[in-house]
Amino acid sequence: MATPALADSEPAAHPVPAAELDVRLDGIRKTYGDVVAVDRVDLEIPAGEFFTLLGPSGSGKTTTLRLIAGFERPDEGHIELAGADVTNRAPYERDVNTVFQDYALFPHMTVAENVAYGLRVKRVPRAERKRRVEEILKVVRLPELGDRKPVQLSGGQRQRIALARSLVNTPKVLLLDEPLGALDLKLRQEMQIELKRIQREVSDVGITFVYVTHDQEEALTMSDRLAVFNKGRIEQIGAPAEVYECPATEFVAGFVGVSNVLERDGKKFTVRPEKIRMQFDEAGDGELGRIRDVVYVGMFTRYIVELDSGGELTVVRQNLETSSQEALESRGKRVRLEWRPEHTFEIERGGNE
Amino acid sequence: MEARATRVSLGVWTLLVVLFLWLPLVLICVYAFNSSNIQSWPIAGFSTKWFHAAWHNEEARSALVLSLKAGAIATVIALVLGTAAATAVSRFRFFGRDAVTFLLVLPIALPGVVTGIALNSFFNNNPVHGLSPSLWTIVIGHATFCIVVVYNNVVARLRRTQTSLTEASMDLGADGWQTFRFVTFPVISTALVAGALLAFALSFDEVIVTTFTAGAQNTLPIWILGNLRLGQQLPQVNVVVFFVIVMTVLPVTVAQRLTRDTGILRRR
Repeated sequence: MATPALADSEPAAHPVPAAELDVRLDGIRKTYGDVVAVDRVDLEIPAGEFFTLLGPSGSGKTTTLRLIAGFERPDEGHIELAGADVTNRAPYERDVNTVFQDYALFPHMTVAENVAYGLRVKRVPRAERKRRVEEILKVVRLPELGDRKPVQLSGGQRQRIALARSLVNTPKVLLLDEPLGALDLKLRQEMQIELKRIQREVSDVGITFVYVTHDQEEALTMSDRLAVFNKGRIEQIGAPAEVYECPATEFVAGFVGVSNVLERDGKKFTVRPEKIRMQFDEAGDGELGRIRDVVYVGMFTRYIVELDSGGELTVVRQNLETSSQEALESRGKRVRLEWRPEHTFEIERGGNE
Repeated sequence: MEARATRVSLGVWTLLVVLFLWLPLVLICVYAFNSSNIQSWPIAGFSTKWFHAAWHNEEARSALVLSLKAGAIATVIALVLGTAAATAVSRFRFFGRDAVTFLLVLPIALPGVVTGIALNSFFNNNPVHGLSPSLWTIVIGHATFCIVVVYNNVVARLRRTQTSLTEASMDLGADGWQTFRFVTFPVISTALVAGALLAFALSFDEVIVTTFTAGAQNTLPIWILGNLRLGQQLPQVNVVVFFVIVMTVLPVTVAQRLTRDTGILRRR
C-alpha cells in the first residue's frame, strides 16, 4: 500500500507471477539408466498459451510431456501446475489431460462412454455428463457418432474423439503427444486448422495447450511460442518468427528451416534462404560463388551455392518470371549473393552439431 | 482339374483325421446305451438303464463331487495367481523377468509323472508343511498347470492391448482401482473366462498328477481307471465317460468362441 509506484517501476523485467503461469518446470532432469532423457529443463508457460515442444525423436520432448502428465517422475527438479507443486502427485491428481499419439480410446466402450469417462470417474451426475458429452462432440464436429465403437471410426475421427475425451474435463492444461502423427498429410493439415479453431472455441475457459511435435512446419504455424529440444535440453524458446528468423544455435538454425550457417572471421552466423538476393553479375558487394545444385519445387526454386570463400548457402527464389527450364539451366553458373546485415544472426558456438 | 482333385483329396484326408480322433469317442458313447453288460459290436440293444445305475452309484457320485470341487478351487487359484503374474510380467520390467516367465510356463511342458512324483515326495515330507493327502493336495497339484493356462491367455490379451489405455484412464482422473474396474478388467475379461474354462477342463480329466497327490479319495478319472482295470461296472463307466465328454466339449467350445477377435483387441 505504501509503495504502489514500485510495482510499475520495472514492468517488463518482472517474471510472470506464478498464479498466471499454468505450467512451470524448474530444473527437471530425468534419466533412464545411463541415458539422460531430460537434462535440467526450465520452462514457463502462461495460461491460455499454445506452446509447442519441438525436436527430433529422442530429444526429450515426449518425456517432458509425460513428466507434466505425471506418467514419469523426475529425478531432480520441480513441476508446478497453476502455482501448485505437483512433482509427486499421481496422474489422476493433476488437472491436466493428455491426447495420446495412438489415441488410447477404450475399445470396449462406445464413443460417448469414452468421452464421458473422465466425468464418470469424478462422479458427475448422469444428466450433466450427457449434456457435456453432446456439447463437446459438437465442438469436434462429430455429434452423431456417440453410439459407435472406436473400431468403427476412421483415423481422423478417432483423433477428434480422443481430443473430445480430454477437453470435456476442461483441464487447466491439455497435453498433446504428436496427435497428428498417424494421419496422412492432407488430414494432418485439416486437423491443424481444426485444432486452432477448437483452441479458440474453448479459450473462454482458458485451456493451455502443450503440443509435442517433430514437424517444424506444424510448430511454426500453430504455436504462440515454442521450445526447441535437442539431446534433452532446450536450445531456444520463443515465438515462431523469433525462432525461425533469429535461431540462437546452429542446431536450431538447422532443425527449424534450412541450415545456412557460415563461418567468417572466426564468427558463425546464419542467414535464411529467402533473405538472400542472387545476382548473375560478379560486380558489386556480397559473396561470390557457383550454383552447385538446383531443386525446382513448383512455387519456388532452391539453389545450393558453393561460395569461393568456403561454405555453402541455400537460396530460395520465387519463380516469378523464371521458367523451370531456365532455373534448371542455371546450374554451374557464377553468381553473387547479397543480403542485408540485419538479416544475419550470430550463432552461439558450442558443442552442438 | 488339378485344383479340384487336390481339394477333394484334402477333404477326404481331413475327414479321415476327424474320424481317427472321434471314432473311439463316438463308440464309447454308443456303448453307454448298450442294454447288455458285455461289450460287443453291434450293441445288443438300446437302453438307458446304465444311466440310472450310474446316477445311483455312490462311489461315482462322490468321485464326481471331488473332481468338481478340485477343479473349481484350482481354477479360482489359477485365476488370481495367473492374472497377477501376467500383469506383472507384461506391465513391469524387473530383474529376473525372463526367468519368471520361463518358470511359469515350464510346468505345462513338464511330464505329469515328474510333477506328480515331485509333489508326492513334497507332500509326504509332513514336518515341513503339515499337509496330508486330501482335497487340498489335489488342488495344489492341479493348480500348477492351471495357472499356466490362465497366465498364457491373459498375457496374450495384454500383449495385444495398448499400454496407453491404463495411462489414459489415470490421466482422465481414475485411480488404480477404478482403472482396473473400468478398463483393465473389461479388456481381459473374455481371456479370463476362456482361461478358466480351459483350466477347469484340464483339471477335470487329470489322472497322472492326481494319482500321486490324492489320498484314499478318488476323482472321477481315477475312479474310471480303477473300474476299467478291475473290469467291473463297465457299462456304468461308459455312462460316466459319456458325461465327461459332454462336460469337456462344452466349456472348450465356449472358450474358443471367446478368444476369437471380439473387437476388444487392438487392430493394426
